[in-house]
Amino acid sequence: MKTRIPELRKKYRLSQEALALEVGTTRQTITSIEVGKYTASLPLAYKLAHYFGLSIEEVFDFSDISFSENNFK
Amino acid sequence: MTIEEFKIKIKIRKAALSIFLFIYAAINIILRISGVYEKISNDFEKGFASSFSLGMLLGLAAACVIYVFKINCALKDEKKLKELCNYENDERRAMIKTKCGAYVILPMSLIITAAGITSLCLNQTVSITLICTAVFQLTTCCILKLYYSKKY
Repeated sequence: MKTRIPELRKKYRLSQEALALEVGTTRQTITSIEVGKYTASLPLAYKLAHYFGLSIEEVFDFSDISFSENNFK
Repeated sequence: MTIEEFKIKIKIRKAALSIFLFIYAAINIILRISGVYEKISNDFEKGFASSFSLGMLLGLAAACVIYVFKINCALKDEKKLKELCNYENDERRAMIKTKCGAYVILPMSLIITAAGITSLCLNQTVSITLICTAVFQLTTCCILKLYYSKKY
């Protein structure tokens, strides 16, 4: 899954370690999320988005996820 | 888990490890003074059993000393405490540990090793088989952990 975390980190001049410390995770997890190896859980995704003052959809790219046609819309 | 809760948790852990280290040191001193080491080292089987169990305990004690030192450092520095808390509650690490079966394999290997040490006094073949099983289990777990650490 693609994320905007590297871009946001650069914008706010944050290191991976500093971001990890703020959101309650490790630098390795942030690296894995950034390179798309690991998909963050909902609480961690929320923490990351909340830290940057954005919504989850604005931080994570869900375009590669297919949705069912039988939704309640 | 909040930092305060984690602080209490590691303080309890530190106390438990300190008690273990104290008991280990006390038993070692008593055995040295009473001359039990010299008596059992003459008999090969008993000597092997005692050497192995003492070596194992020495390794555990060394690991405990390092961990207690790490806890002490974390308790003095707020940043290190937060880093340790984050490390222990990291979801990726927990997932890797679940995938490689570390939550089951580690206690099981410890039990098997304890059984192996106990059976050293009864049957050496059985005990060596048990110890080899524990070592192989731990090796497999380590390899899987390395694989999943690279994958995720």
